[in-house]
Amino acid sequence: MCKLISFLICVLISLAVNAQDKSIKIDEKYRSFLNDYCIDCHNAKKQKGKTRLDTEGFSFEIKTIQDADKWQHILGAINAQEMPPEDEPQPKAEDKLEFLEMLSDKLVEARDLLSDAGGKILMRRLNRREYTNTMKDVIGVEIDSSNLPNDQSGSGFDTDGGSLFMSSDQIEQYLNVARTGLENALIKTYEYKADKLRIQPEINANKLVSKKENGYRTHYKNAIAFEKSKEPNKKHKDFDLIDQRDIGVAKSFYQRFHKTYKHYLENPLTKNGSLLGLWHPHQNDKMIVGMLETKVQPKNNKNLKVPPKAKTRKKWLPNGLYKIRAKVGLTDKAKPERSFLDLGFFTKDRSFKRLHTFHITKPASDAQVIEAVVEISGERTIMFREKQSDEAARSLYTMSRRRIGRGPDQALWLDWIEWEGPLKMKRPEIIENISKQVSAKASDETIKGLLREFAEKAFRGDKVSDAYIDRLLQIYKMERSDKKKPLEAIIEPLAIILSSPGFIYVSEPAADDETKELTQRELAIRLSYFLWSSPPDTELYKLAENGQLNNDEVLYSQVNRMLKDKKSANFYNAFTYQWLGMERLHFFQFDTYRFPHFDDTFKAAAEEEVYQTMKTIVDENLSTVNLLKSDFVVINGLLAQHYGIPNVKGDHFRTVKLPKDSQRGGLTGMAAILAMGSDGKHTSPVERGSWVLRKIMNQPPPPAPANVPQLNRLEGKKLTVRQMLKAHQEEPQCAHCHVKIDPIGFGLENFDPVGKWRTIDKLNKVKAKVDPSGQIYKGPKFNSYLELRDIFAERSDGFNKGLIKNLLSYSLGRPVGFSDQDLIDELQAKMGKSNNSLKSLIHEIVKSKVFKTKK
Amino acid sequence: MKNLNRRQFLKGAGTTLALPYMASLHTGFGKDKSSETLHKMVFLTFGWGCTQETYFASSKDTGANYKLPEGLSPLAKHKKDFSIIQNTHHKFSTEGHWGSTFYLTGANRYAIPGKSFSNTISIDQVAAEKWGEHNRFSSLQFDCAKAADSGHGPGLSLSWNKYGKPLPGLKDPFYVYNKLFGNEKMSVEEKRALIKKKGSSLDAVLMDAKRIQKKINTEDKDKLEEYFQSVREIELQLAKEEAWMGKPKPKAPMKEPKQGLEGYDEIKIMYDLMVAALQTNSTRVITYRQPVSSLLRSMGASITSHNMSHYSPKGERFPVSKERDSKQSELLAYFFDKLKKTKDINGESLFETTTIGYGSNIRHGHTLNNCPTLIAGNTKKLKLGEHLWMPKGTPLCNVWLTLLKASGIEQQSFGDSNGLVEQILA
Repeated sequence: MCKLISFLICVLISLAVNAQDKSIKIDEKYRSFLNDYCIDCHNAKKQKGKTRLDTEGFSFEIKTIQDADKWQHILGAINAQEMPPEDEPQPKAEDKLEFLEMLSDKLVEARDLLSDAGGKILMRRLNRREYTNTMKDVIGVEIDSSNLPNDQSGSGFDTDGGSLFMSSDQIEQYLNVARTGLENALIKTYEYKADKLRIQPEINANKLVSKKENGYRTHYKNAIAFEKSKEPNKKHKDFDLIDQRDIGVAKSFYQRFHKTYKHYLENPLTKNGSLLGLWHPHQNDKMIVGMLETKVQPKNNKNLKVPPKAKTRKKWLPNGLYKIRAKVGLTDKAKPERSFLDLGFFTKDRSFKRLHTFHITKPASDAQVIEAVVEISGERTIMFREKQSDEAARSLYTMSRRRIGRGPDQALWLDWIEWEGPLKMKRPEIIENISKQVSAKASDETIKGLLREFAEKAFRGDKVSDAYIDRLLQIYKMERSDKKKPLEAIIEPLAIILSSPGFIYVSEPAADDETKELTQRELAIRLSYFLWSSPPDTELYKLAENGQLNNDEVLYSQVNRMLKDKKSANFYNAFTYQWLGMERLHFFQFDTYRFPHFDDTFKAAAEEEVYQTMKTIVDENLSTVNLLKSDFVVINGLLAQHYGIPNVKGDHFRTVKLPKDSQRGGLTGMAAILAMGSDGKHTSPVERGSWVLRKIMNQPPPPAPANVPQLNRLEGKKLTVRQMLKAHQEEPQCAHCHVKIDPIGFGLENFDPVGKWRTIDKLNKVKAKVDPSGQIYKGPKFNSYLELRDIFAERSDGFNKGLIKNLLSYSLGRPVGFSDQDLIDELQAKMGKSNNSLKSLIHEIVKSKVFKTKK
Repeated sequence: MKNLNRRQFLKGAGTTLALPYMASLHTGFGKDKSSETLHKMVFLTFGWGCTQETYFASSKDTGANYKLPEGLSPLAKHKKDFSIIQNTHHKFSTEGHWGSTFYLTGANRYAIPGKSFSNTISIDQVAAEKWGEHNRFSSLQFDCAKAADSGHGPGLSLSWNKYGKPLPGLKDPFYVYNKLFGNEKMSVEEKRALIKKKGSSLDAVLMDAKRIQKKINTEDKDKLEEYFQSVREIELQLAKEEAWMGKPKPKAPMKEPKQGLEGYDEIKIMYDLMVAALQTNSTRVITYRQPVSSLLRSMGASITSHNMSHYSPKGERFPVSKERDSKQSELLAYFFDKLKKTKDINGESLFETTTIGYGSNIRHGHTLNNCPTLIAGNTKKLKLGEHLWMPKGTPLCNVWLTLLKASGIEQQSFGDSNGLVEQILA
């Protein structure tokens, strides 16, 4: 006890010291800058603009927010060229550059210091990802949380309690989502004999394509006949035409589409299968492609007994897992970039939501069978299509029509489609118990027992009060008296549990100003939200209960087990996405004429490459330097095709050795990262350069300053990238950042907007050979991207520091700031001893004291 | 009785909140009985500023006879009914890419030690707190999809409540329409039962909140406070629903919008919905973060909105930026037209009784020191038709404070304000 008290006192004292002592000092040598250019007007006597910058009246130590605001004001005035005033002596460009560089860096540090929360970890609401996963864990079905705020748009990670707000209508949203989810879990999911159905897609497809072909042709014929007719009183409707405008429509449609439909029907493959098109025949029209519809009907519906008929293709079925199979092959016209099949479903607003993508590698004569398991909840229309975006499909169609007078040849052929299900799905035990035991005959005690069991599972082991359970029972009874069936009536009390703070928040009880060691159960919860974004499983809970989690070896093997588990994908994806700022990949659409295959499916695969690379580096206990430069990539067939790497087929990601001097290997050679540094049309060396400074070099440039006059001298001139680079360096207020950013950005110019290698760039219609050479600010020169990449790899210490900071912040759920410097250094030292392995870093974080304490 | 219990509970739990007294709810809805003007306020903003060269009147050309700049020319016929105010700023907005987060608040993001973000109440919510209890919706926040992409920055809408927390925005015109005018097919009895049910569900979640509140430290209690606030706001909404029960929603003065509208058409329909909401007195306070990205798409431009904002005056992005200004002004003119043609429930012109603030937190590019500001409406209290060039350093919050005063809400100060813009008061 005594020990504990003295420990607490220590902590308190050190906190107090932290708060008072830390400050940012600005080197006194910059006094001369103020004395030379500012002090004439801003001195003790003549406080112009109520500002004093003389030695006595202005401190060079930033201690408070007010101090920082004063300096920010100075920075702003110089950046905006307001100060010194035009008619006063101006500083030399290099002095100004140095001053601006120093001050903007110092202010970033000062903000970091002043916003430092001293390591406090706030109780946090489950973010949307965690909420979705946790719901799945508790009730066993996927829920639709798309109406909740996505929580990833703040500045930090979505695990940071401080920035996870609760908006005014959120509790209602939780209640609604929970009600729907529970209805799916308890009422629309039930035992049902598995069924199987095979569909021959050509039966409908051919009928409908013929109908349309005929329609276009007849319409056109009528229009021509009308025009040729010499009948003076001819009427449109006698020719099956609506009006004069209809003639134009008939001609235009005939021209644009007829030949494509006719050509479709002429293809012998349509005799016993269906071809998947680009735009026309409609890829999004259920008529043509392989399509399945399932609808979910509550249990006890009489309609359910109707046996399935192959003809109707619609079927009433319970929620659950279904196996979808299809036999698919390539036509002889399929190009490598057009050998990918998307499986997805139609959303309510009739857009396509992709679930899986398959690399089709066999010709139609030797077609392959692909298979996927799909979770059906609610009404679903499952469909297949060639990988595409709607807009790009139109562009490809238009380009093809200009060339050959009709749409592009189809690349994929679908022999048949089959589904099977519902598969046996293991429901969570508590859901199983509720659906079996809640009945009209069940006693109050039984219902209360079930409610308690459910609540404690939902609250991750927290005990609930009798009063709470009594209240829930009352609500159940109220629902019953409202003529609801028992299972329907239990939904409201369960939804309340799933909207209560015990479920919505991860809370770690503590007293004020206490630094408390987490209980084992709290540790298990923190750990599983770190590595799984989900609640602990039975094994973790059990170890916590038995007090074994504070055994380092047990903890170590648990971390390994968790990293191996499928659920670790939640960690790799969410952490990497936010750490590397990959949101940007989805900000804009890529030019569909220049990059028609860079669609959403491709973007998803490109993102996956980054996640899978992280995973591989952890799984194989490799050094993080592999994220900067490696002799391998982790790709699938789609990416291999993009990178021009031969002999990689199929959809799974695997490690592929690279030839020596390959441009791939390392983050800066990945399609996702490179595409983020473009606007969908052109590359943006500034975006790429600042991204590298932030993420790779850990030297984030200060935020773009306000009010810097834009350089307009070179407006409209056709410049090469080199010339533009020079322009950026003309004015100190631009140069002090761009001198660091631009050379790196230009070093990556050999990659086009979608990350393909190029040697010639065509910007503003000026063709120029790409010249990647440059120099790191105050650092080495490089002549090529490969040399630049070598510099990244040599400077991996900075990179690791940034990574540690981010991983720590993600795992602890708080910003990592000024007071964490020692911890970061310590983790870096330990990591260094383990060959900079990312896995060892994860272990060290979990082992660290901060991870095991609540502050 | 249930409500009272919860209210007492909230007090007992040591929260600083007091639930507002709700009796007044039952007296004043529908037609306002007093003869006083029913003031309304609308704030509209867009991201990424405007075209420097063509949107702003010259600093020398002030007063009533100023030449309307090209970017505002679609508003020519309303010239007498709006003013443009230049040279104001938010002094705490110091980063080139800050969006609309502090536009209506003027707050200092770093104001609280130990926190890297904080905000304060937005001007519209000051009005909503004053007036809101008499309307079905105390305020409405309109928003656009992917707001960050349109240059708006953090937040869920333009509005922040009195605790500096973001208020959610409505993004889908179809949904807004149904919220305003869609009548539930429910009898009063059913509705009453539903409200009762919702009330007892809230009672239950509060029991659990109380359980947790006992165990956690002060900082976490502050965090949990947000949960209580959320419950409280739903309670208020329920109380309101109860008060409004049996009063059918107003008849929609417009058709149900099509789904999936984007850009130009989306903004236009949102304006229609605003007019409809004000006209039926469903609310008196509206804010709207407008889309820029989808507006560009609907104009057929293929560049991103951020990219557009970094045009150079001779480059290919310049005409896009100009056209975008002009489309926005065209839409605003449409909004004014419609407000002028429509009367509120007292029979007064909507335009004459609605105070409108319009603009962006950015001037253009990364320039924040003279944000484009246009004020309109409320013609009896505001002196309009002028171009004002304010003294350097005038807080934008001075304008907001003055608009409040013109709307009949007297307040000492707002945000970083240091005075009123007397010139705009009639």
